[in-house]
Amino acid sequence: MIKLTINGKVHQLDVAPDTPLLWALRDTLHMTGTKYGCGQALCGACNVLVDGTPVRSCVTPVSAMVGRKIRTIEAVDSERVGKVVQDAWRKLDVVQCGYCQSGGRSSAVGTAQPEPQAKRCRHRQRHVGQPVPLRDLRARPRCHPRSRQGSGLRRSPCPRSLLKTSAAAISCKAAPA
Amino acid sequence: MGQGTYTGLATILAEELDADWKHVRVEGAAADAKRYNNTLWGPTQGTGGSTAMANSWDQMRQAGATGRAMLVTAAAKRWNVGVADIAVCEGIVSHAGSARKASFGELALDAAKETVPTEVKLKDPRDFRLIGKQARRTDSAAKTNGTAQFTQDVFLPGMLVAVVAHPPQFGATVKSFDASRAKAVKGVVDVVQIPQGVAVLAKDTWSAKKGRDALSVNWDDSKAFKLGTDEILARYREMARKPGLIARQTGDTGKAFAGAARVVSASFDFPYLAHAAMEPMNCVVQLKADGCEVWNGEQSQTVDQGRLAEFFGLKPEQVKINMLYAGGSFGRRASSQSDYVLEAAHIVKAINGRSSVTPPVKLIWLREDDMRGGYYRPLFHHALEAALDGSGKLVGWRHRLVGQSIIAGTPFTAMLVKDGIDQVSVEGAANLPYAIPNLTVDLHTPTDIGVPVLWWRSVGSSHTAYSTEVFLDQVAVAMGKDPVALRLELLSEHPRHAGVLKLASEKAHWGTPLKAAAGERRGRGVAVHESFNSFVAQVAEVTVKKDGSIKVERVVCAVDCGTAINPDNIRSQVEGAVGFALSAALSGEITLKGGRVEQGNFDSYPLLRIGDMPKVEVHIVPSTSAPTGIGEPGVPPLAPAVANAIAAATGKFLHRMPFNTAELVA
Repeated sequence: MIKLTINGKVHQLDVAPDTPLLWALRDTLHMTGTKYGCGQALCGACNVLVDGTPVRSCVTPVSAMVGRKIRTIEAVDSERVGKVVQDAWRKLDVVQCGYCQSGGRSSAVGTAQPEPQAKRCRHRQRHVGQPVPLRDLRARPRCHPRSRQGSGLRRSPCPRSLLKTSAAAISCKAAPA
Repeated sequence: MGQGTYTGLATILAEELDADWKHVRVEGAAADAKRYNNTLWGPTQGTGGSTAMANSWDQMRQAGATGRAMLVTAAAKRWNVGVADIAVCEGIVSHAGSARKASFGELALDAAKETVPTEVKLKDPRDFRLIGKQARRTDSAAKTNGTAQFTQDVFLPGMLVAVVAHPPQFGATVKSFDASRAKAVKGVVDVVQIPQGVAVLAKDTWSAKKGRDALSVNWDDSKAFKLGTDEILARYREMARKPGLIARQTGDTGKAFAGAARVVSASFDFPYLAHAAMEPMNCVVQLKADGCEVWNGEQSQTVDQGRLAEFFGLKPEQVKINMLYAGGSFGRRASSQSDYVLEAAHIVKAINGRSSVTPPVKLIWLREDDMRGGYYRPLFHHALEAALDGSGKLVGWRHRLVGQSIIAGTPFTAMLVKDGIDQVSVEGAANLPYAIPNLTVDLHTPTDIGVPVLWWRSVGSSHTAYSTEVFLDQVAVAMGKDPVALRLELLSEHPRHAGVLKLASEKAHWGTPLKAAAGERRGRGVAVHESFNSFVAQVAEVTVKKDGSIKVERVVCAVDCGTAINPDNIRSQVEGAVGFALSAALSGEITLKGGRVEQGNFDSYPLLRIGDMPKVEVHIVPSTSAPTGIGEPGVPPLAPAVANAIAAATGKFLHRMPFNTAELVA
């Protein structure tokens, strides 16, 4: 039995410890908002928030998630940044086929919000901290190293780190300054 | 398959019905060709060829206006007033004189009893309240909070997940297999052989995958296709030396070339391409006492229903297909062989009778299964020649194409293969719009290549737009003419091509200088193409760095797709098309070695990342013509516009896709 805290609720799961969080969420808990896209941390359709940071659930074994706070698309709007991002997504009719949108949104939420734990990330760069509507995200890179002007600047993990495996992202977060 | 059709069809209907958009809900149609026939292909139900709006425009308008008339008649009877005095607005039927009003729901039962009128008056487009405005997508909420249901998300009581070990080459089969280690994996329930390989059935996906990894299979490759893509291409180049079947002949091309003062020539290579939809193919099949039930993000209901009925020995109406959202498709779900749907059916048949109740099966293709599963955009080789006369005028054009037929052997053969020419192999080439007096387009269709091929967003135009539009720029250079001016000169008989071309070039400030940073080269390129009866011109702005790497900065698009039902949907489709087409231009390539597909996932078949997405502007030509396609037409002009921009920056025309940026090193 593995104990996971998902969306504020504790679940006891009878799955093999090497089971990726993705399949535990989907096949065991039937929380299907988180999607399978590649199984290799390449595409991000499976992103969930772990302690506020986007993580590729398809390569993250459940055994590594014990004691962590997991937030999925089903509860992404339970705090302010998630709500703002979700509202923007709807307001702009961002979706088309929509399959990978849960992962994209988790990524946007994690990127947009201040994460004290993420301060040590070596990839971290400054960028505009306000949630960026996809209309704008489509048109420019999410990370703006030179965009120091204006208000609302926040520190948050560089999306480049998100392109690496979640395991790397996690260890990145724990690295010394 | 961004499925804006859910919104588009509803918009047309709600417009004529005068419904309240806030109350509109849309459901996917079950398989029923009598009711949901696609009138542009019929008799068959399906979505493809960018036909959704074109097919539904009259139907949905008529249906909406008919429903409205029946609601009005019911209200007039109930209130004992004349139908002429009744108004309908946003779902409310009202009579001003008596201040009475009723909702559609309150009148629906009575209205349903009215005789269906044979003739109804349709709205004047000037009175449209939803069409051309901003009807919000009907699927945004569900796709934003994770509740939208895709095939991956179907869970049925007792359901097993199947992951299949597929042969390493097309045409290889199972010689023998040892399932003992697979069966030892916790969660694995069964292992069965099917014609497509060996299926591991488990209680969940991860166990099924681990089971497959533990499986040991010996493959019989005696009938497998064993060529590599390099060898296929070499064959095609050899075939291109001789004339093929004539797809179009205008004037006397031989004479034009014999008398030419100058001949320009080029040849182009196009790779196999995977659709790589974000949701890998999957399908749920349940066999029941009275038939079978299927859950799938469908693109081709009637074909799948027919093939499943034949397979299980059922009548088509005993095959119930539940239409779910599709996580992308780009043509992949319209497999005329129903390949992955039948694979799921084979697994169900193989386990049928093994237990008292046959469990429903969810076949899951992992990304590698999807990418190596074939049904690619066919590999093509094109050879072009242009003849210029003594005065520098373009007088002759020869275009030879070599590539597999998508249509031959499918149910669409009678409709789309004419005199041995697969029309979709030459679309965009045989109907070249330019006024060139002597023109020959011919085609070779190799039949001995065992790689399954299929339509891929914009089908033939995905390669013909590239070769024709890049080659025309090469000809423009030879003629010393501006690419836009030359096109406009040759398009005097084609006002809609010319219209989008002018609009895009004007919005992109064609002809104004582009500033390049030190060590960088910049250029603008243009392309215009008609596909699916819509016209799209694009102007790309590209920066080429010293090391040859390129960055597409901006793409200005002009679109004429008739009446713009949902302008935001059109913009989204064209923006998506730019990303999709740019992905293919920069990195899309499926290669085979010894018959084995060398790619498997997004590391070896990368898709465009958000940081590489150009700024896209979409300008829609105002029109009151009937709507035409929009799902595909944004794709064809992108790669040639980018290539022409690269040529403008570097002087180098790229003749293969994906682009070989090594050719661009300064």
